[in-house]
Amino acid sequence: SILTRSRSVLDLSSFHRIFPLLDTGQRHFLAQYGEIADPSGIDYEYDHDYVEKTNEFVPTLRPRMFAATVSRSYNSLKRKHYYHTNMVDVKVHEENGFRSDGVIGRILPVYVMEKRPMLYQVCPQLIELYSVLEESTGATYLTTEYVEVAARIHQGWRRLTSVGFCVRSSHAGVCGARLPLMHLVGVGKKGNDNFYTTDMDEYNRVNTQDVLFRGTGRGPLFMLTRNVIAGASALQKAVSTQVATRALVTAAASPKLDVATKLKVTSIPGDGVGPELIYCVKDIVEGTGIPLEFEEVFLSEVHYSRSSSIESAIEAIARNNGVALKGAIEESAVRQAHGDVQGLNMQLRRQLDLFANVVHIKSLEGIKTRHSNPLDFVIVREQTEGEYSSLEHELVPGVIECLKITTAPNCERIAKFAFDYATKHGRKKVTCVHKANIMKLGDGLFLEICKETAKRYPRIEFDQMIIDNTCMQLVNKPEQFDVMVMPNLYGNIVDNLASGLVGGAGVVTGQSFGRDFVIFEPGSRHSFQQAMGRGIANPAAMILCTANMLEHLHLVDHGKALRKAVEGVIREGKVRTRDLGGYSSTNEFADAVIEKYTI
Amino acid sequence: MLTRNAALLSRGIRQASSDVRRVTLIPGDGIGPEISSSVVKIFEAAKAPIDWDPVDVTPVKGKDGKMRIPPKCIELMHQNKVGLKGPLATPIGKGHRSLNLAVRLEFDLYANVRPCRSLAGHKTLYDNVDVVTIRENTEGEYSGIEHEVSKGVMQSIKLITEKASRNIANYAFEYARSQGRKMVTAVHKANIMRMSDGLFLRMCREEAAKYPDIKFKEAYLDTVCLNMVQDPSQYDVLVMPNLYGDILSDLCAGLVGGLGVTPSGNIGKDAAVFESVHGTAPDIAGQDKANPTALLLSSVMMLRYMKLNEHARKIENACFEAISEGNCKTGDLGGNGTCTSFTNDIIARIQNSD
Repeated sequence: SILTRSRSVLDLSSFHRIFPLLDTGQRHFLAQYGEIADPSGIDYEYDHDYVEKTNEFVPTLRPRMFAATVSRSYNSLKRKHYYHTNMVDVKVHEENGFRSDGVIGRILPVYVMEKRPMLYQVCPQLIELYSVLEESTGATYLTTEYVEVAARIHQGWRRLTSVGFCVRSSHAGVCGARLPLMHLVGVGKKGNDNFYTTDMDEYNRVNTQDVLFRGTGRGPLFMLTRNVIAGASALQKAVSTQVATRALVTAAASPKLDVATKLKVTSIPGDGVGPELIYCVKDIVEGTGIPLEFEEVFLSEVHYSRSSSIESAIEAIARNNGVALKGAIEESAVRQAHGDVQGLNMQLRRQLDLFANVVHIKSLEGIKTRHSNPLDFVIVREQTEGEYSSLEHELVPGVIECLKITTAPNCERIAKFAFDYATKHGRKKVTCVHKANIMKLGDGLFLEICKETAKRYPRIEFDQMIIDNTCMQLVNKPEQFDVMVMPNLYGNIVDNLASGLVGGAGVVTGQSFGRDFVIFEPGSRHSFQQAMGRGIANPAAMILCTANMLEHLHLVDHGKALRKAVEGVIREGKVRTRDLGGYSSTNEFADAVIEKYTI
Repeated sequence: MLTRNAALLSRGIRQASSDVRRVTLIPGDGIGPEISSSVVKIFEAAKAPIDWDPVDVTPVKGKDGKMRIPPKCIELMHQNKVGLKGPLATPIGKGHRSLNLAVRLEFDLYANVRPCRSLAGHKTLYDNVDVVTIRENTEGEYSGIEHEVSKGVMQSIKLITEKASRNIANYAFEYARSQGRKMVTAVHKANIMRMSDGLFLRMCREEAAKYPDIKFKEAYLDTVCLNMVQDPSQYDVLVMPNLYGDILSDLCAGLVGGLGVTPSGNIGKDAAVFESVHGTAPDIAGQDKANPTALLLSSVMMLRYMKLNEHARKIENACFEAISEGNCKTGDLGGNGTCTSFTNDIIARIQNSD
């Protein structure tokens, strides 16, 4: 072949590790593209439209295309994602009631060499550039029929050998690798050496010499440039040391592709001791070399004049992998005169649609509790509606009405989440906590939907309990609970009650899940104003939240190590903050964790 | 002149402890009849000047088709003004209003008082509990007003009125003063439900200003839950709207040993119903296994309400002694006795103390 087949930059096994967040459908789609054109003659063939049928991918031969815009739709009945490169199919799906997620990105076809699929870097900037090229030139020949990927940089002429390139051009720097995706104008051969250029002038100039050019008779060739390849190789290296790679895929739209070695997350310190705890986490992150970078957003109701807006906070979270670490934001009594103004917390939850709050109640060794049995249960709380809908009004002076809203779709969502969570984490029982004997319609609906959902999960036991009884059971026999699901207010009560059982607000973690965002925060949300600035608050909860966050970001080893360190410090019992019976400070606890941390 | 005499007369009737008082007795369902008869026997032994008027409150269809408490019961209550109630069954999500709720609304029993004290002899994981929860009993989340706004969208209305909030706040401080309590804590969620709980809080603050001898604090519901299970001794009297009160009072009951040992009273302006708050326990009904402690302690509350303090003390002491020293107590208290044996034990102690 004229052009040496480039070495594989990433093979499929590393692909799975690098893009584990793509669901199976996406992986199949990207991996099962047809066969790339071998410059010696085989043409591209790849699937044009991916529709999942009976778990088997059936590729169909379609006219070839270079890069495809991928849109996604979701069938909530079958709970499957569908990927399309064809707008017609998108429309068909939408008409059939599938939820359309719109364009989710673009892909390059997979390079298949000798029937072994390989994947090249999927880089958003790359694809954007391609479309810019396409639009700006308007030339139809840009819709090329195949792609070549070079494994080396190009600058001027390069001699493509099986070993490496060498510079031969007198135009050094002219056709340098400015852009991620370059259009190969000419490909030539002299003797055993292959040459290529991206510069038309160069092509014309050299053409007269004794280099035979094949030209790009079959249509233009494109290459990924050094940045991308370097990034991709760094990626490959990164995979072996398990540094975060997700940032690469979700990088901001900057023209220069930076290889990220740290994952960016948003931090929202909040009020009270929140800032101290977040700084403590930052210290630990720096001291242990965990690859995290925080972008801080100041959100506060009390200091409303200096607070960022919710929109900018949401942008920040979306920018930084959709993940945030949050302290408690105090609700201010000063600002609201009206009952239908939602607090900042509720606004954040509603706008990010963080419908599920999961608090994991786990006994930690070293913390003395009144119960002898170790506890390990999960509280799933619906947190966008219910009693906290902030719909209040004064009917006549002295009579105030507050509405509690319960809707079927939200109940379904939270019920399904609870059962899915139970399934995913190997839990055996889900208990629905309600007060349907009194609120027959509202909580009655919630209970009904939980019962219906339970039928779809025959392997998980379903139980229901009235909230009063639940509280009593929690103080007497808390070990009977596994996963509990409940509406908003009861969730608040049970979260705090259960936190008190295992050691208080300083040791319990929580997460607020939405479809696209997760916020990690301590399980029982108290800003602990009395301790503000005194450095006495217990940072264990916040650190454990960080460990959860690391696991969520697929930095599993780091997360586990951090959790082990915290549990070790607590188990030893030498460094204890006031809520656990000692006199250590927040910083002393952080230092102890750093010391104990080993990966 | 006539009205003044009538007023004096009625006051005289209420205060003379040598007169026999009539009390409406609602035995209830399940284990209700057994424990009611225990209480009646114990009162006899203590020579309490109480005459019982037992009634059945199973709802009957009224003229408008709605299920109601039988009118005879209502008449009796209005006459006697004091009632003792056993457990009533409430169907879940069936559509007609809870009977308990109906009794309370009928007689405007606006305050629910539940003192939770650790019992010597009945050890739980929490030793030093001495909390009284005072809960607004007529409105709030239990106003019973719910509707389906559109398909799959349910709306439950929580009503908070100035009048009811003021009444309950006032009652809480009066109770604290009369019982020698030091601190009243208002439990709320005004950070989220700003107008409704905000109104409740405002009323509490206004009342607090009138009782400078009693400390007043405000606490969020979740903070109280968190602290209550870690250190219940930091709370004294808690006052709160309906839903929080329901949950917190059950929580406190759980701390001291459950609903089987917790008394409860529903107080109105001129009527009161004292009740046991446990369930009807249909599985042990009729087997002489029931524990009458809750109903008995509620009846003791009733005696105190009627200012029959001497009799109240006698019966209460006998009951506490029977639990801490005796071995005739029922299974749920850790003994091997039956309802009857426990009752007889208490009777014996009362007679011995005379």
